[in-house]
Amino acid sequence: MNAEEVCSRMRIDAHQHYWEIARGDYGWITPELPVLYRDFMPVDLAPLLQTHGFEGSIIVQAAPTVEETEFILSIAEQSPSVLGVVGWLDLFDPDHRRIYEKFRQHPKFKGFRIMIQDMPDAYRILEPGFVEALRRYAEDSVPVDLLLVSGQMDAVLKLLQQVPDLRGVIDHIGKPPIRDKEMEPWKQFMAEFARYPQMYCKLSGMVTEGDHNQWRKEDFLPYIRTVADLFGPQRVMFGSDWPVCLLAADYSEVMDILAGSLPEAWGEYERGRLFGENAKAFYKL
Amino acid sequence: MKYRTLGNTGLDVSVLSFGASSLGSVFRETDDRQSIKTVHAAIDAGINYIDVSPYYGLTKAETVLGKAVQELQRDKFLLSSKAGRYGEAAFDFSAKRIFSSVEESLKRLHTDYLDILFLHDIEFVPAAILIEEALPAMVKLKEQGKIRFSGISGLPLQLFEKLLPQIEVDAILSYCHYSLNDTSLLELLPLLQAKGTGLVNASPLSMGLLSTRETADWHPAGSRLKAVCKQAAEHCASRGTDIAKLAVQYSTSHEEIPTTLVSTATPANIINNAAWTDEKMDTELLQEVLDILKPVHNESWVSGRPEYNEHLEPAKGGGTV
Repeated sequence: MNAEEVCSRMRIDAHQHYWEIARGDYGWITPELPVLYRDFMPVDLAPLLQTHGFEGSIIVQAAPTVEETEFILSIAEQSPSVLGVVGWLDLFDPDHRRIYEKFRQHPKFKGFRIMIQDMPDAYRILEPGFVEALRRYAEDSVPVDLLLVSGQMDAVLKLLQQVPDLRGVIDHIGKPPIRDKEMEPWKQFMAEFARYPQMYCKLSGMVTEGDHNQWRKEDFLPYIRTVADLFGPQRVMFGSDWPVCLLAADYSEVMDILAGSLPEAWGEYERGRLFGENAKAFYKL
Repeated sequence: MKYRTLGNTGLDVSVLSFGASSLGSVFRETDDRQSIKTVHAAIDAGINYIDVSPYYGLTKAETVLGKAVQELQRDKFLLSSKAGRYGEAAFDFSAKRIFSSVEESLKRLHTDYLDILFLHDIEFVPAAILIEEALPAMVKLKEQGKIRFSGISGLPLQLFEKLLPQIEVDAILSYCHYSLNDTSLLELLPLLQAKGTGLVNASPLSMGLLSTRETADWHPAGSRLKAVCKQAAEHCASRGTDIAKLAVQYSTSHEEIPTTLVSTATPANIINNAAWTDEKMDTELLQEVLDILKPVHNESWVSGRPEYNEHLEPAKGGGTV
């Protein structure tokens, strides 16, 4: 896919990050990850968005702090290419609603993400306080990104059973063990998630779940096809996960992998949904 | 069978004890008649201590064990059960629930007292509920004669390091921390000795890690730990030995670790396990196995609340986002 194929629909990269290392709250970005251990700002992404015909992107939080969400909101203020911001919210914090209301003052704040991935015990999301908090946001139809790893899918399914109306999106297709080429039980859980009509899935973050140095395009195909089949063209979103993807692949490679692995029946309409229209609908842009 | 004293409780426990979780079909489908025979076989082999929980098989393990208890002389063996955990994510450590839980357990187990009651997997709940509700409830239960001794159970050793100095219990139940691949329980011994706390060890096979079979998907261990443990088991198999034998001998051999629970629903297994404890350990093979396991020695996994898992920081403060 390249600039020539741009059509009249809105093209959006639904998942990327910006960061400034010196801010100091990105626990996971360490000098041991030299590719990522530098600042990444809109000026770095702009040429890539342009090359691939994207009008803009959704910035997703990269650190579990209110300050980092405020930081990316401030970037959004100055950057027309930022179409929306997904912030961080800790639903265990009794103050979460107040923080959410404050974020919401910002016109580009579109939703928040819960970082289940880093919870030592994912089943804590089933604590009554957490479930109740999430229900409130579901009633208000607030878009919620869910960051999890495939080992936590059972807990997430039990959460969805209790909050069936969640307007949610599974980030990075739930981080299946692509490098081990394992499909189960990931596939079964994804099928369960897809049964909830309000649930979306981001076709993002896959290259970093493959073998960083020796992935082959075909490694991703069964995962992409599974998600495409389960969620259909109306509930999938492309996200580059740039710059995290750089650990394994550059922006163009990420685009190639996805565009080359979609179901053959997916034409311009379906691709339009995947590469922008669904993000526009989900995040209410 | 050898016997050792369980801390200040004064109870003499067999070095190998019987964990009844298998009777709840936790690991595979089981035949209740076989299960009951297994309990009898354990007692006949000299095992004098049995542990169970209402959580195992969601009360099934207690119910099946209760049928065996009916056929045994109650003062000939020691029995512990647990309270507070009732499902994967179902915890209730309120005093009210502890009382009703014990009543229900006693009924299922066909007995009028428990030798020890453990609060089950307490790393999942805030310490406050234990201190304000569950522990005072156990004191009351002791006064009523429904339990003889009280205890706590959980996975992270940090749990015991943090809680034992501020609470009074007679025993703890620790699992997966004194086996061929993990001996971190030794670090806790000075604290236990200072307080006179009885120690029950469990899972000498590290919940199935030490086996030539693939570890179950639910097993929380990391893939490297799983692979190295399997490699150790395969090494034993190549020498014609079941690693389970070495594992049981190893875990029951430490004088400061009074008893180690093993679980099975097959009579032959418990008979073998008991016989192994009286056989001499193959120290040459032991050394080879410990060498194989060295790269993953004391490697564990997160369980419960962050404050009890500080030694196990998630890799570099989290994965990629």
